[in-house]
Amino acid sequence: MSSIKSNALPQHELLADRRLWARLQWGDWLFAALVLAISVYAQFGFSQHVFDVYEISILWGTALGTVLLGWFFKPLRWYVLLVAGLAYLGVHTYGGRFEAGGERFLLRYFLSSQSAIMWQCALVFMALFCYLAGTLVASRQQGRRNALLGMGSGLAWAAAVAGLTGLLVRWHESYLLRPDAGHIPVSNLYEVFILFLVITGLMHLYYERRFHMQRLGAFVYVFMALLVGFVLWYSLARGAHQIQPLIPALQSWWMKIHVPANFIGYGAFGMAAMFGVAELWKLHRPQAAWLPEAQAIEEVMYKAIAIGFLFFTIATVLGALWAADAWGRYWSWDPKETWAFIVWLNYAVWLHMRLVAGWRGKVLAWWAIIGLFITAFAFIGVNLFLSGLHSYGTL
Amino acid sequence: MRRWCVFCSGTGTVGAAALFMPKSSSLPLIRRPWFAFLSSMRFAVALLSLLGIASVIGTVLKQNESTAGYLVEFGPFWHPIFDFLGLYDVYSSSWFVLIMLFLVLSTGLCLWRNIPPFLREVRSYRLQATARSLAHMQHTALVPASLPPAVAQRYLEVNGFAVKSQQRDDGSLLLAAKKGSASKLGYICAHVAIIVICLGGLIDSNMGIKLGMLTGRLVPDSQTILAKDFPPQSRLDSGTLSFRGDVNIAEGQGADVVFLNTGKGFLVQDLPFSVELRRFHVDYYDTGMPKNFASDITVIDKRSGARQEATIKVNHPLTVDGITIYQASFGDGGSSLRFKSWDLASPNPEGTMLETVSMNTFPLTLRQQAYRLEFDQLRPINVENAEAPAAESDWRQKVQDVRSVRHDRNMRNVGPTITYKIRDQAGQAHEYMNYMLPLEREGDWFYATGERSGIGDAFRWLMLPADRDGKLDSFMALRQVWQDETLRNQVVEMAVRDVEPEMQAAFGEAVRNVLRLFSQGGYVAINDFVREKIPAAEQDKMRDFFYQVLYGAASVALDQALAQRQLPAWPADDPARNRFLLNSLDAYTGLTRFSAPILMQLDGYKEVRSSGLQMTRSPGQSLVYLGSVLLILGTVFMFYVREKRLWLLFGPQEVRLAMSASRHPRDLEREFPQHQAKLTQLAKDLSHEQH
Repeated sequence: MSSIKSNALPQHELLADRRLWARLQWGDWLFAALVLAISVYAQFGFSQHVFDVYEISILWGTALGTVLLGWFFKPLRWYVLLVAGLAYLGVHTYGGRFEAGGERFLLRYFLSSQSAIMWQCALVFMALFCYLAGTLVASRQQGRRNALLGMGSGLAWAAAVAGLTGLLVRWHESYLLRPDAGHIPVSNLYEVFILFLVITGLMHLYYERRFHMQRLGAFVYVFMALLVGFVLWYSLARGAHQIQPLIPALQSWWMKIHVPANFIGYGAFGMAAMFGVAELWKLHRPQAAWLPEAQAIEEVMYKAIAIGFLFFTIATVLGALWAADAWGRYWSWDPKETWAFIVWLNYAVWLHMRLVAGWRGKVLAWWAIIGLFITAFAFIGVNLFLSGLHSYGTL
Repeated sequence: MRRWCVFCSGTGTVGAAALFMPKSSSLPLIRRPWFAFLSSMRFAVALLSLLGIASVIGTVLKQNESTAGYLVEFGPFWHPIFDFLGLYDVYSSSWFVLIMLFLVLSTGLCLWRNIPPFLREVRSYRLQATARSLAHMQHTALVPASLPPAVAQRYLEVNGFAVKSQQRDDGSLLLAAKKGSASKLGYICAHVAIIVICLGGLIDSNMGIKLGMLTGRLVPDSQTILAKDFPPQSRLDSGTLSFRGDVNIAEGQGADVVFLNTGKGFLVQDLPFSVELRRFHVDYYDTGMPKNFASDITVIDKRSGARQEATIKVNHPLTVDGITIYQASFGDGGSSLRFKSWDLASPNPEGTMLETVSMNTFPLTLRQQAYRLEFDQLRPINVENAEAPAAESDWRQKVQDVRSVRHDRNMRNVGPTITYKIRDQAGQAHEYMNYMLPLEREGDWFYATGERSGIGDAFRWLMLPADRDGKLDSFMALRQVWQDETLRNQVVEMAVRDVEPEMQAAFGEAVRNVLRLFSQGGYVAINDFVREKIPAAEQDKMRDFFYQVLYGAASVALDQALAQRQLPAWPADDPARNRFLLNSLDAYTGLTRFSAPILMQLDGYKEVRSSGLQMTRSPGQSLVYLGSVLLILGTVFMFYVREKRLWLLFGPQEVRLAMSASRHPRDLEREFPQHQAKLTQLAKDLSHEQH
């Protein structure tokens, strides 16, 4: 039968067009309009910087990506606008003078990059405290939600706001410091750690809301707190927070996309490992009602690894494209590249085992935890122990 | 439930079982045991693991170092074993390439087996589903029979399903819907990508050269220096499929070949063009880090003679004739150097000018002794941190520092340096490093020359004080007085002029002896004399006395030296004069311990830079990029497109709803009840409006 005619159909809510744009509300369009306005301002408001065609593409690609992300995960709408507003306030308060950072109250205590980043560090610890306390209360009351867990999420959002604001202001500060040599703050280990904290925080907040997994916050934030500890040591003992100019090999627009893509991957793998810990806990103590079902945790772990794998693949490909421009070959078997390859292989096999061989449970959870160590070695260990072309972030 | 769209699923077990089955020629190719084994996921995963392990070895063991270094590190037993296993160059060893080839083979066979059924699957709507089979699916339910098929179809379409309907002979109507078929294309893309990337990598690898070396067609040369002297079996013509080579070009010069390092020597690769370096630019940040380096080059086509001018820098290469030219490094291309030099055996304060070229070797003959002067790189810019190191434990300061991203370092460019060696006839060499400009140390300025005898040693610094004019003239004049006996005796006479006449002879003798000792070996000679010739009880007193004599005489000597050289007198009330005198005495002592026969002070230079260019032809690059795009697309499709099927069978009495999904069964647990509820709702709301 091929005579079903849709024009004769009655009207019904369930038969309405459900495509993305049809589901958007006025808030989504307002958000898109504001992101558009910010992008226009970014392109034309900084007349002292001449954008090349790649930078313009990256700017508008980022704008488009931000709009889509905001539509996909609604709380990101106010997050993006708040961060943009705070960063603008910071830049505006500087008024083109680097010295203003030590003089103006707002900069000195909140909006200069270092103040914002220190706030981020403090907020991560507070979020950890709330998540831990909330989890403890939940385990006593056998409940699913409580006010402490909600506060944990709120503090996690605040930490992410502070971190990204700090990075954006730092970007501006690098130009105040050296007008001809400013650069996006993803050029050394300190800067990427802050980025790492922001991205992991945001991804966790997404999973938390999407899959109702607030009680896993304690696991993820233990990991985050360890990273913050490292960041603090790194800047106190090594002065790593100081802005350094870029060496010629890093002076490329590729950096703007290669590094963030990589850290989405690292962040997702890190989170997957902590979900692995949670799953093992649940498998070990099935009566722990405060934890979600082991299968549910595993599902989220798989989702984290899948998104991490995708972005890690993209980042590695972008890295190869960049390497072809900078070092004259797209793949040099440099230690960093090789370890990226090993990380990639590791998760490729993990995914094959889950999707094709149908593995589930304990082994995959352990494997995800081991994966974190492999990832950590690729991220930091290579810089510590092996030298090569990619030695930008030495300890 | 059968898993519909699992790639390579179960072939591991099938393969293993099939291996023991008797071989039958009637079996189709893809059922043969070896085929099943090679295309199985287990085999592929094993290969991937092997690649991983090999890669770890390659990063832990430093690759492509010198043979001698490996021999020292691993000893004579393990070194040949490691060498034989190719562990020093893992990534181009034959076994590594073999694993890669097997991976390509395995993935290829897997694709060959799976692409046809997959494509069938993508196209198929599974219209053959029966009421019975649908009722046996995991997610199945009945919805009210009042649901109009047209409404159901519209509902499915707005939910993103592609729908096909089939009127059956028994009067029933089947709506078969599917969504996310691209998921399967994702599998195909991702696996094709692996093959494409590996092939691209293989094309760009040095396999051709390795084969050439194995068959003896190519012989790397480790002795020859100039490109034109390379024998024919060490040359590659410009038709080579892929290569990667380096060449250093000095400003104003050109090259039409690159050198390929094979680890056992070099091969020369001819280029279809020549490259001339017009000028090399380098800028530095205030921290002394290089900010930018760039080469202005002219590329001249050999056949047509066409010229192309371009500037290449890091991150901005140039591609000509399929060959990409990269900025790889830079250095000194042989700069003209002008030295002022003093023969240290002669008191003559008048230095002679010496014109040389860096990165070159010159003969030097001095009093029938032949030496070789080997000049290394001229470094025009040297940045020093003039800041005092902060106390380690000052935490309050550190916490304060964390507040600002700026840390004011007192970085200073202290001017050019030149490094050179002086080698004697026996082949013994000392290395020297000379600063062209005087350096400030505790308020005074010095001309510094470092000396060391071993590469790893620290330099010992000879610091010659600059005079009021910032020159070495005063020191050299003073040195002449110490070294020339006649002048020294005049100093003695002047020094004793004011002494009472009856003491003059004895005191004069003492001054003469002190000055003679000092002229021979500086403070060290005086100290040695005191230790050897003076009774222990008297030593301190005598040493103080000798030093008093020396300081007094030195002041006289300076006046005399300045007068002798017709330099303006230095007033005695200038505190700088006294410091200059003390520094001169230290410097003269240092000079007596200096091992070089001559002292060379860089006086001027004209820099000629060289640029290290890397040139590659890598036709596999575009394949690799294509593969990368496929890989990313494939990954996106595989993870984020969920393949689902839905059937609605409108039977005579009932309407059966069933769903299946390839993966993500948990998704379906949520989704199926939703569809069921909504279709029921639609049936309730809309059935009365129809008919």
